[in-house]
Amino acid sequence: MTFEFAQPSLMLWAVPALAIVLFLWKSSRAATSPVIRNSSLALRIVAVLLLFLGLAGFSLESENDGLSIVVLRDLSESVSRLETDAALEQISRRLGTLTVPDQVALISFGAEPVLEQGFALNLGSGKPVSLNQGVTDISAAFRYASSFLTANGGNGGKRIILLSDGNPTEGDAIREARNLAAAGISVDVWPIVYDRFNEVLVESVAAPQEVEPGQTFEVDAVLESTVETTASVVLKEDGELLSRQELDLAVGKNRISFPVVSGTGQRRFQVQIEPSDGTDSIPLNNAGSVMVSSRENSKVLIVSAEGASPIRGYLNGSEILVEEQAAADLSAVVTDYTGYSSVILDNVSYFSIRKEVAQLLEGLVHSNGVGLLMVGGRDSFGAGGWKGTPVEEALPVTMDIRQRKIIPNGALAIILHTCEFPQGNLWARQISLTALDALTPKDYFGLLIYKNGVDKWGIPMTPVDDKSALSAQVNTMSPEDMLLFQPSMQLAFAGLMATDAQSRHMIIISDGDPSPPNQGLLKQYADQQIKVSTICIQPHSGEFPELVLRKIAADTGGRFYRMDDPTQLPRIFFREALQVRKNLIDESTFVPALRETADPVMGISGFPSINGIVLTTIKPLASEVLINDEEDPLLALKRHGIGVTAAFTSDSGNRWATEWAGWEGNSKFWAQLVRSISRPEETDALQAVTRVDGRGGVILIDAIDEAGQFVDGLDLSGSVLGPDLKTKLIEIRQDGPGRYIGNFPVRQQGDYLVTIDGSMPDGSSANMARTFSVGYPAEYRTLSSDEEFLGSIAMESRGRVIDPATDLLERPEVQNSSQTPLWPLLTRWALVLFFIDVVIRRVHFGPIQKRKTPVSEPEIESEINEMPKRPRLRGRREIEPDPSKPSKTDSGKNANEPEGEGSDNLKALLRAKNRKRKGNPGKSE
Amino acid sequence: MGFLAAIPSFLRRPFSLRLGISLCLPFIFVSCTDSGLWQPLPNVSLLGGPGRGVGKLFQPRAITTRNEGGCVIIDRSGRAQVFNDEGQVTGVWALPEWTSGHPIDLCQTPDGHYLVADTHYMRILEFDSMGVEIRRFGEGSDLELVRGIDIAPDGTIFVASYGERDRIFRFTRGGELIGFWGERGDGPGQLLRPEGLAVAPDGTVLVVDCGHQRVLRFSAEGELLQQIGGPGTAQGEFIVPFDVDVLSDGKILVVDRSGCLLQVFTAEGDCLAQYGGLGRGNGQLHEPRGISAKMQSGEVEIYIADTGNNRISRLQLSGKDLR
Repeated sequence: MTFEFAQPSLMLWAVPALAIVLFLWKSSRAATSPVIRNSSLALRIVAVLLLFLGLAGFSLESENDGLSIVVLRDLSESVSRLETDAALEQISRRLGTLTVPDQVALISFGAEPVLEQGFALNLGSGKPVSLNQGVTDISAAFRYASSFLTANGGNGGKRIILLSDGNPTEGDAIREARNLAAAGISVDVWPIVYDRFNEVLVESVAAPQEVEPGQTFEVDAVLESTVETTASVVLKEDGELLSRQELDLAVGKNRISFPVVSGTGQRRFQVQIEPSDGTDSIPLNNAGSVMVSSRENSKVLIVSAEGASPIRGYLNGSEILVEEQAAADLSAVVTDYTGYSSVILDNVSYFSIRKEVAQLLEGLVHSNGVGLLMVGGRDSFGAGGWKGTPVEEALPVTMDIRQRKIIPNGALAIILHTCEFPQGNLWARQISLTALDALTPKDYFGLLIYKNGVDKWGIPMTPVDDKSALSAQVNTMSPEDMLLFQPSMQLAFAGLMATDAQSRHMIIISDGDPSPPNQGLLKQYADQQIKVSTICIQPHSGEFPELVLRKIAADTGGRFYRMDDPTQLPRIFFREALQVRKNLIDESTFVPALRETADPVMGISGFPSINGIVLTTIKPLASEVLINDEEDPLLALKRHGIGVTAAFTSDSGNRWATEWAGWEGNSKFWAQLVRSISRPEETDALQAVTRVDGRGGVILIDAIDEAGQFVDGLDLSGSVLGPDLKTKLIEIRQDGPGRYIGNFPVRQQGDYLVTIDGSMPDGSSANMARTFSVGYPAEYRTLSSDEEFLGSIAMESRGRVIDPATDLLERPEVQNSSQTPLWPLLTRWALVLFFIDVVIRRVHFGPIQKRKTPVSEPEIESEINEMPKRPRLRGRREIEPDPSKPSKTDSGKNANEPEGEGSDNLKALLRAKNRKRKGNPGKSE
Repeated sequence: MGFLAAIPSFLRRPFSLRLGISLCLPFIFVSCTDSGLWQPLPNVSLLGGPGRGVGKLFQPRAITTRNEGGCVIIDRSGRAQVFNDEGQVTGVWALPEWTSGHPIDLCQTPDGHYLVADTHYMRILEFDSMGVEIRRFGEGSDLELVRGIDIAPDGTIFVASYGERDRIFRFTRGGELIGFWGERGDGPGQLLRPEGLAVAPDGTVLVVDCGHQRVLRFSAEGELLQQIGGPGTAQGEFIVPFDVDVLSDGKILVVDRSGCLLQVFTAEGDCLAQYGGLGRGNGQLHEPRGISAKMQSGEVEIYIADTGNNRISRLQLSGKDLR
């Protein structure tokens, strides 16, 4: 055990600090006894020393020879489960039963790490886990293991044992290994060695991405084989067989082509290889696909609840190509939208589409330039639950409504019982805020939680007029594991009934294990038409939790939701919160007024009246084209990324804009509106192909002007929208005359959309979009383990490659030691000493003696004389007595009293006091 | 003034008095804040502490004393850890599954095995003394969320279960269902979320009736014999009673999860003492959820799963503390 200073130089500052203490002590004029004065000095010196010790980072260092080991098991598809299990068993046997303080834990990983076994004295075989095995991310596993070891590994040595084939498909494992070394964690690697002698795979499939209708083109496939064999290769389109070829495969790469005649629209071709028996070990990598589009005018996609919108009729004769789809059929695949220049959502509810579609639509507008128009109706805008969605972000209006005379109001009560699932309380707060966000200032909001053994209002039922204050309250809450539903539901019922709300609603979120409420209470809810919707989130096993919540919802007329994914909760909460909101629709009649001229209303002078809109608020940078009498937006436009969006808050003519249907300018208006938002046609100046190689995706662009000359120096920007619906920017650089290239990561299986945007030297637009598909994860491309890479990990982290002779429990060369910082203790004691110092100097503990009779001057003087003489201050200026004033000796009162400066001054003061008491301040005796 | 004379002369001197009192004041202050002015658990020592390493605990719940001394505790990291008499970990074993939830209670059989109420998997797991699973039973017997578990002197296993119905199940030592009794309701002897359970030396069964904030004593066949406590904060009353254990002399120990208290009752139901109080200091508790105790030579050794503090509070009470 040793002592350490973090910043020993700070101790030097203690010297001047002690000098100041000493100076102050010496110059003190307090009348205290020498014992107290000296004790005070000692206390102060010690306190100051303690403070400086604390500031200098004085700590106690003790060595710890314990060893904490985390075994990281690679469970990705490229590694055989049998081999990892066998390796795990061998490690377990070699470790044996550890003795405290040694400990071992097990973490498995693929795309993400999962803790299988916490620290124990034996390495077990783990528990069943589910993780994405299509990806290997060793770096993420290292980060997780590092934080796990740091938090739980104690103060001794820390080691990771990595069981892997060394083929990560994501992350920078070498960099993380260096970080581990810096954190004092070494990585011993246990290579899972394999070399696939029998493997055939489709490496890539290529085809021209755009073809003229009727053109013959070729679909090319590159096949890789580790064995000489024969195989049957088929070409399919949407599962339908087009062609089959028998092929002799050589070891290495083999090429095959299929001639195809192009049709219309977008087509997906799949190449599939069927190797001879016994020559293939991974069937998942035996297929690849490519998409081919025919050159034709892009279309407008109109989406409505049933797939039949009147807007299609309005666009007849406008030469705009139209397709219709029902909202429920809307695809979440990015490449399904490449043929559309704009999308119209005609009275579509957010809840009728998949959540991913909203994100995709926003991405298509922002990165691909697809236009987006939302048309109103009872299920649209805020009334359709679009608030807070990516689509709202893209639109020119927000779903909030400004303060206005809108009633009726509603009341929403929420019961939170969430703490049993991971980060439950965090989710509880988030969804409560979502629900709160859906309400207007006229509505009531209340939140019930279970805390410290009591069911109570976390937020009593209150009007939502100050959302920020309520949000702050929500953010401080941490509900606990509720025991019974009855008490909180009783409170909620009373709270809801105490409001003057026109509609009342309640939501319960729970894992379902509190005891159910009694039937009488549920009947009360039903009688008062208070619907209780219940959300069963990550329930414990068995039917009971779900049954209880189902029953509550069924008996009160509410909805029941079963949720295993907390990310779905805000959407549900928002939807449920909307139950109390009937105030988003304004059905008053008005004649639209023009606020700002724009393309959609160009050449149109007057508009028929409209009988209703969904209320929204215009965004700051949007163009507000048409408004109603109360200046709410009717038509607005806004640029979002490289696309344009529009909002028409009335409907398409079914209920509110009925007069527009017969209006002569109707077709012109809709055609102009659609054209003003649609993506411009692609330029012919750019030609591009996309492909996937070992490092990711590549786009190659050739820029050639009308004269056939290469165009250099273009400023092009690119973006890629992947299967995860996230947009990533692509840096485009010139690679040769008229040749530009961009690289981007390709991590997931699925379809990708690459968009290029820029302008030609003559100012004309240079834009285009290309698609490509990744048939299977990179995990299935690996044909052998990479021991060299694993060796690098071991070397960078100062670990070892494990062989039969390796001692898994060998202590690290640099033994970790634990430092116990002593500053809290030192500071505490310094404060205590200061406190004692103050107390012994300032507090009088003895009985207070009151003088019953006036004290005579001689008595006082006698007391003063008995007082110790005050030390004389160095360098003090002597005060010369003023001859004009009576001096001590002048008074002649007591010539024999001892001489002393302190006593002289005190006596002079005493005499002055006496004179004042006698009422004759101006005269001496 | 007679009492002043009793003070030693040096303390009567002003400086000594000042120094003495000022030295004492911080300690008085610290001890007052630390104890929260409640009567803390006496003779307490702490095991565990927050963490997931060996010897550390993450929200421990299920606890039982061992015949050979020490205790076994299961926490929310899905591990059972064996502590010996000295408070050292001598074994760690993992539960087969814990994704859906963690056990609430366990008990040790006379032959050294452990019966674990695997609450959210609605079954009982039996482990040998080394933590090797040797049997699981109760699946398909209509058990719901299993809570307290204990074994009677005759080998009958009693298990509290709640869900759609609140019942006490009985199994043979071999794991065969004998039957069940109990029903949900607010009447005498009816249950609302039974939690902890303990079998007294005389074979009667004590059940923590959590929803009604009381402890009920039943005969082995389910006949109500006694009611202890009730809602309230006074001594002998409960806020959220959670677990119970019985000493060999019949005294009853109850932990109150929200009251953060240990209460000791006579077999007749009179409250002898209460200890604890909400806090993080020694002798204080934070959401205790499990208790197990044993009596040897008049000394009582009690282990409390101090869930909120991520530790075990081990305390010893002498016979005179319990009179």
